[in-house]
Amino acid sequence: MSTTTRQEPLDAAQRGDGHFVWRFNIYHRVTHALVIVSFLLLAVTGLPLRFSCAVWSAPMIRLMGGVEMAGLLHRIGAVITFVYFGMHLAYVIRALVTSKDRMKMLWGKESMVPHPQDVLDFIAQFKWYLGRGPAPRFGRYSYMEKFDYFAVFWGVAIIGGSGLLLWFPEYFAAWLPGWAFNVATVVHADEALLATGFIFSVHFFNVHMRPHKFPLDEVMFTGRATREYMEEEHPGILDHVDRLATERPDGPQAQDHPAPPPSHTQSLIGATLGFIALAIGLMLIGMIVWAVLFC
Amino acid sequence: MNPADRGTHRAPPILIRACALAAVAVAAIWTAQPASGQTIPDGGCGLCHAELELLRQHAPNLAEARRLVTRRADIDASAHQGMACAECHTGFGRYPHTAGPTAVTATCQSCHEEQTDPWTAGVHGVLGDDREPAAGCSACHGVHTVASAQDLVADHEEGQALSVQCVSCHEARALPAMDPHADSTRCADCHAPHRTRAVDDPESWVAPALQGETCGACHEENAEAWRVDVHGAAVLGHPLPRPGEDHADDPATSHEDDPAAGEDRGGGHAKQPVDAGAEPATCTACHGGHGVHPVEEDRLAGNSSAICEGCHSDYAGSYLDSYHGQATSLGSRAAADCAACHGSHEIYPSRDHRSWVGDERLLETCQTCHPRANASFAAFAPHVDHHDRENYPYVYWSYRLMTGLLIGVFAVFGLHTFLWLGRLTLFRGADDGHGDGSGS
Repeated sequence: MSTTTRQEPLDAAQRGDGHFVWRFNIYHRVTHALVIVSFLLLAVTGLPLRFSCAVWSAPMIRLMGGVEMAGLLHRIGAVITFVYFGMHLAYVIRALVTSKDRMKMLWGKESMVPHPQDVLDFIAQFKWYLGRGPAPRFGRYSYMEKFDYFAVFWGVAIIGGSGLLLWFPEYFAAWLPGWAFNVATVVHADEALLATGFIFSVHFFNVHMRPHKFPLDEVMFTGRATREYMEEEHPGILDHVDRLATERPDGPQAQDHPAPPPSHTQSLIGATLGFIALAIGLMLIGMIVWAVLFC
Repeated sequence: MNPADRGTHRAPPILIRACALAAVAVAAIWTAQPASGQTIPDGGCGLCHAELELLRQHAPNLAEARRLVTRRADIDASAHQGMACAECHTGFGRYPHTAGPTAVTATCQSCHEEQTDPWTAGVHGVLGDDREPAAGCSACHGVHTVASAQDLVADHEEGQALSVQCVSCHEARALPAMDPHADSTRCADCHAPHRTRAVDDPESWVAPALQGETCGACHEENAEAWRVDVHGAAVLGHPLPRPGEDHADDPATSHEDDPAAGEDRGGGHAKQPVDAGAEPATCTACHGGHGVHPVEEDRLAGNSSAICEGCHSDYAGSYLDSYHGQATSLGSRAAADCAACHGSHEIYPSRDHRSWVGDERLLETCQTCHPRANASFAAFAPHVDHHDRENYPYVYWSYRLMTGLLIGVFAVFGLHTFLWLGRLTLFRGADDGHGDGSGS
């Protein structure tokens, strides 16, 4: 642990020593921004309907200009979601096709694909919590990040699919039974509750709220983090990061390569967007808890 | 003022009045009104009773003198036009009046038995401790300016309606201006003009069994439909016809005897069609009595669940859990409310062929909002109960699955989060506070 007393930057990804490392490229960051905007829009417009019994739902709907307007905004959020979902599918397919080392993409410390090590890491993490062993050495993506990623993947498919059913019931009734719409209603509402509840509590804690990260980790906004941050969060690919830093000190703007520090403006934009999103999310999780308890 | 002065002052008007009197008498005789042309209308009473000052000399006080003032013009402008004073005030004779046993004021009953009889039986005819009725004829009709029913009706525009008389006692029951009845309907139209009863009296015009008649006097079509629908039948005690039968006159078809009576569409046995102790589904049960909203802004127009849930809480609950109910409760008037699917004055159990939600008409009902709906669309269960495995197995199991998923994920990650927080704060060990586990 650093024992220096200098002022720590707000952005957890800029804390500590060492050169900066590229962690997310511009495509990742734009996609994540689209996810934030559409997810919050969907949550703000959908939760009042899901919890129409709660005292906050009617004022919130009035603020948005009525149920019909909330419905329209919800569908705009849905369209943004389908756009980034399609974009991402295309991106993944293109990456797989053009990859020089496809195996590395699918397996190992740099991969997003879950593998047995993630289960071992998960167990090791609990052992470490209980003081029964060292903390796991996560690779480029920890099991938490993989879970978040695939939760969104699954969530978009499930919530998006059931949402389409409810958006165009007359069309889908041509080849689906009536109960499918009942099931879609249940699935859409509960999966959305799972998604919002998870993101606004677990994801927020893992990424922004826990000690060493609080109050904000801007790595997904600026795209880069210090070597010390990588050492704390992703020690598993530190060798790879260090090798790239030595071999190609002014390498491409690609993941794990050395990066220039983010500019003041970039940090400011990241902090602004990040705090707005955090504030909305925390407000919504508060409202969800309220509704679950008192509704 | 001394009597001599008064004499000199008053002589000419008396002369004029005597001439006028003679003229009236002559006119009365000459025009020969067949019904009442036999007497001079006021028989000279007006000589004294038109004069407050004169009466003041003989009456014990001014108030009493005022009470005794009667203008012929008032009577002639009233429903008693042309009637002689003595027709009501019998036995008074000439002045000075001998207040003998024959001097009485005839009750209205002597001529208007048809009105006073029901009045005697009504709430206004009840005699109080002072032996006075709660509201006598004059309370509504006036004394010498006696108004006919027609006059009370005709005067409505000027605010002199019978209702004004009613409201002078029943202040709190005045119709608010937003009530469409405020401009068009008199109290007596609903509460009966003479046989007025307390609202909870079974013979009151607004009693459950009679509302169909009372409201139906104007809202004929709605009352006609209601009378035979599930609400009207329950209130009026008609048996409800079985599917395929339009007439309810055969007691054998009573749905009380129908083994399927308690079942709804899809046999949702868990849901109670009507709450125990629900009040009769009369006109006012849904529309309210005083302060009925105009139809276009009625609570019933687009948000009837707020009314229906008063008696149908099980169905309202499942409705409010559905998209239709959620959107409606948040202010949408486009999403279906109860009446959009079930109708309002022609509601039948779904097993009845006339029901909007019965097999025969359900699709048509869905199509009013969802024009391209098909049979499969209509098979959607709008009152689903995710606890009812028997009737809604798919919903039951998907709800179970989703709840399990939710609980599972939050249990695992809740623990994950809390232990992590504890590890980084309370149990921040000397070994590896960072979480990198490298021990560096």
